[in-house]
Amino acid sequence: MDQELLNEFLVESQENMAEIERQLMALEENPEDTELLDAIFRTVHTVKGNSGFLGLVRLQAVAHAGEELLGRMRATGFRATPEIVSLLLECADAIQTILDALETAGAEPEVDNDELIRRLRAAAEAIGEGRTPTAAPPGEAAAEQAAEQAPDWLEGLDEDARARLAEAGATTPEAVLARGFEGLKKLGLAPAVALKLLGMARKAAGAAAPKGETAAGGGGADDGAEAASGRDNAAPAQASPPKPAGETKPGSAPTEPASAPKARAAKTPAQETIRVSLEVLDALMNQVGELVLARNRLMQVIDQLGMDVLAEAGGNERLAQLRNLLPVSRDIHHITERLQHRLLKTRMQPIATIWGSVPRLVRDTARQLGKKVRVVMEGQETELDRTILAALKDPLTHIIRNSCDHGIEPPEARVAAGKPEAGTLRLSAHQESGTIVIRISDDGAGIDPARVKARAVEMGVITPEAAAGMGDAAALQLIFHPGLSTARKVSNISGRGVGMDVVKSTIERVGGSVDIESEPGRGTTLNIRIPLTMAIMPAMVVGVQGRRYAIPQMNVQELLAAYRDAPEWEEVAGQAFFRLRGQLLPVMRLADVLKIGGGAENHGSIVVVNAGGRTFGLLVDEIFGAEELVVKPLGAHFRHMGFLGGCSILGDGYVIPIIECNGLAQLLNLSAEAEAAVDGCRARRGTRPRETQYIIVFRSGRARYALPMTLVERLEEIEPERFEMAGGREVLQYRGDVIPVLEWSRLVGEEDAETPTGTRSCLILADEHKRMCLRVGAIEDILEAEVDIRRPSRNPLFLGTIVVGDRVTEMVDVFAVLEQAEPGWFADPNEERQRPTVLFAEDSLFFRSLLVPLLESMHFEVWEAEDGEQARRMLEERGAPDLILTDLEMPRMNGYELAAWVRAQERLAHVPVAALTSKPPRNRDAQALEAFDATLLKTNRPGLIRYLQAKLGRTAATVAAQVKAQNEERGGTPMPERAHA
Amino acid sequence: MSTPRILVVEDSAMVRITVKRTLSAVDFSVDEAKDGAEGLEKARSAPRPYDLILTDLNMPNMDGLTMVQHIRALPAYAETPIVMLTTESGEEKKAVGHEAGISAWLVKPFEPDALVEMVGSMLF
Repeated sequence: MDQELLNEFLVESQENMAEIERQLMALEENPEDTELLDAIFRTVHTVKGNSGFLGLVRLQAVAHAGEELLGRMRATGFRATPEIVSLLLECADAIQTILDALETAGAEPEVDNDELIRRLRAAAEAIGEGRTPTAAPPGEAAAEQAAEQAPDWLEGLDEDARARLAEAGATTPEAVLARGFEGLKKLGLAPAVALKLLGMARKAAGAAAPKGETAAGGGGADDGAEAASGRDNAAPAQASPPKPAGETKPGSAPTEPASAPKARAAKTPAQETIRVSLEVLDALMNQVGELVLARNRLMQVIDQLGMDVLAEAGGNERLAQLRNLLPVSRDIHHITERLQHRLLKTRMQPIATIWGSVPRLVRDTARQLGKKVRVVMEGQETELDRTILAALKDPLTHIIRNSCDHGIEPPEARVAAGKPEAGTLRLSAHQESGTIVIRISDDGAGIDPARVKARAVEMGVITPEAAAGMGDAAALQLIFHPGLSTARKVSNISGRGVGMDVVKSTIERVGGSVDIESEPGRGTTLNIRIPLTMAIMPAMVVGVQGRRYAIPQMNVQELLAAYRDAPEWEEVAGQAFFRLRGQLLPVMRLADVLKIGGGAENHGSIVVVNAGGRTFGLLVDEIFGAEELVVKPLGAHFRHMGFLGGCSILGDGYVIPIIECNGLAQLLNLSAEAEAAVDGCRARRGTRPRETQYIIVFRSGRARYALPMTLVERLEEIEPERFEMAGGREVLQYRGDVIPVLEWSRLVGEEDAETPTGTRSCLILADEHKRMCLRVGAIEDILEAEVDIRRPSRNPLFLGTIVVGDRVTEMVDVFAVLEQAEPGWFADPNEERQRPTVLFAEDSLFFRSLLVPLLESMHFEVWEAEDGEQARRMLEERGAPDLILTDLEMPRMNGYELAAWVRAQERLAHVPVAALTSKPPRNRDAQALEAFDATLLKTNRPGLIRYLQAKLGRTAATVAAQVKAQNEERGGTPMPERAHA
Repeated sequence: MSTPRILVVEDSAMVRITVKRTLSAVDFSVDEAKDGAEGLEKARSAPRPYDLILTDLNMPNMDGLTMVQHIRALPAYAETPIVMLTTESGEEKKAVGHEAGISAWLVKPFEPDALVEMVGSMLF
């Protein structure tokens, strides 16, 4: 389609359509105004004509039906009724929706106007026959449609909440907003649900409603979304110049609020925005790219000149002049950076732009197939370059259709499989260090790898031998193979067949990657990773045989040192592997791939890369660091090299090829035996939940380090004079404590690192009763990241290298650091106290041997006493336990006496004392038992367990215990499960 | 077309994280600032004004009250609810706070539920 023509059309149509709504309402007021009717007719007629010319079929269809109705009205002199006006308004809305989508996404949206068109035609017919179209059918249909549409914006809210809203008749965003927080809570919604709902409503309504001015529209002068409230129409009439066509007085509010146009997304205020063609932006982008290159070059030159030379130019006046270069270059550096980011921003659009049509798409598809599918969307505000967004639209539609078609089972099958009747399709998007990760998952039938393989063999895509040795993960990726996916009849494979190769190639064309995970019976997930923008690419610069290459940061997972005689090297069936945290990582030598010779020695650094659904290592000689590269296309004669994705120019003028990791992944042809080795590892890995945690990133010298938040109590900026010396070591008075101070740079042996003067950044680490101050260079960030806390790494102080926000970061093993700096930090009385302690007094050996293992199995530390007297002595010697459990009848000192003694001790006042009896207590014992917090039956184990869990489940858990518990309990994320049903 | 956007200005990472978790769970978008100066900068440079600001009182670089005064001076934030997170609950402080433009107070430590209530009643 001719873009320029389309733009012209859009500008003109938007102008006309802006008028039509007001004109229609005026027509309702003055039904006999034929000039007005003519004007409306002309507008719709023009839209129809132009859309036909431009091949916009959906737009043409709906405009055509509207035009027909208006034509009949003109021909017969029909006086517009409110019903007809609402029908025409609906038609105008439908036209507007398509125009808006054309403007944002450049293509017609997936809307279904058939029902509307049918009603428009029916009305036209009725008028043609001289009848007044009955209000009932359109009215009914409209109500039906409204009821159907309500759930769209409520996607993601649980059923109960929806039911309550429906009951209260609050199904539109406006109605929800009008109820407000308190009103929704009165409907029985939990506060968090109410809040979430209001957020959704606001998003759906698009009305920026400050407190007290919700949908009632008092003073909301910003957009037309509030027309339903019966506001005076004068404002919009003034805002737009009167049309020459028969202008009536600005009409009053429409007679029937229900017939007012549906709230539409707020328009951007025309006064503050101007239209800039993408071409201009692209050209600007290009120039900024060049500027980045020039900046890099400048920085490099200055670097070569040497900072010291510049700083110490001293006597030589001309050299001294050069010193001025420093601040200037710094400025250029920063300004370029900002310019680049701002410009990138102008091209960004939220992913909601292309997700907007998803609920409708899913509903329609599901309905066609007789299935029930719920859509959950997360991260709709995530922004992406609009070129990439536009490119993603079709693959996305495809994937979603496939999910509904092949993934999610019919309701009966789901119920039979013990699943909820309605399937769930989950779309999520989030940013992960310069990359956007889009996940589309369903909880459907999943894909059987064996059947994919069988199909692939049948289609001649792979040989039976290859299939036999192929692992499940690899088999799934065959879905993307053109030979398999262009096959027409694939519905016998319970998976996605048609066009998945197109999906893959489209995504790869914008620099992204896609892979598929599936578990038969459980569902399928597609992971799409795409760069934020295509113009500038953060990349890792590596060296091979004295030449430099760039690896897109997006694909880089971590970096490893791999020495020639490292025990981690292994070889399976001629393929080199590097054992990484118990997993086998296949390793390709980049020198081999590039055929630039060099010995076949396994020595250097490994860049762990994730691409094309696989994780593998790339062996390189050197790693130079991260750079932002301006991507330039490669010439046609390089095109056959699938593993080269473009090139760039480094600061020193060196032309650097950019490695295309997806292409590399295809070169990785593992033999069946080697594949099995990897797959075995992957399967084990798959069972481990992925773990994210909050980490603090700090800098010291030139390196960046990260440590988990778990032990960090507080971050402080501390003035130098507060550090004091005591007993030959540095200490800090902190919150009434004197705590040891550790200098990070010394700890990691950066002795020569220059110690900054002035206020220092400190991490206050705290175990339950102890604190320590870790002084670091500068605290950079706190963020949530996926971290594998598996040890050991070469340096005992570190867990390993991770990539955080495009940067290589050492993950610090806090426990090891504390242990090394302060031996005994953990091995002290606290060690004993890490678990809750229970003092258990019982004279019967039988009952002791019965209950002690139970207590220990609940992770309690148990102090065993044979009688009250021994228990009392333990309490005196060892301090307070977390709970006392005592038999009643014991020699020397019985349970009552023990309880009375405990209660008399102030320091034991908080310790609960529970009595253990072998018989249910009788009434006359009641008074004696008052000294106890609880009376438990020895024989009632469940009751005992419940009591102990209630009392000790949370208390006294030390940080170490929490960490352990967290690691065990926590699945993917520490965030509370989002409140989707 | 807007998810409510919240800015939390706090030097304690713990509080920031609590706020972020609680409000992300209801699909609000939460931005963080570690001190008053950063909070002011974020409020100033936000592409769309925040719907609600939560701020600590005592912070390095710029304290909460000073920041609120600056933010209130920005035309986009004349009416924005600003909630002070504080461990103090003295009436005197509150009077000063109201003068500076604080809309409400939330006493630390607070339960996530209390935060939800506060945000709900301030915004809707």
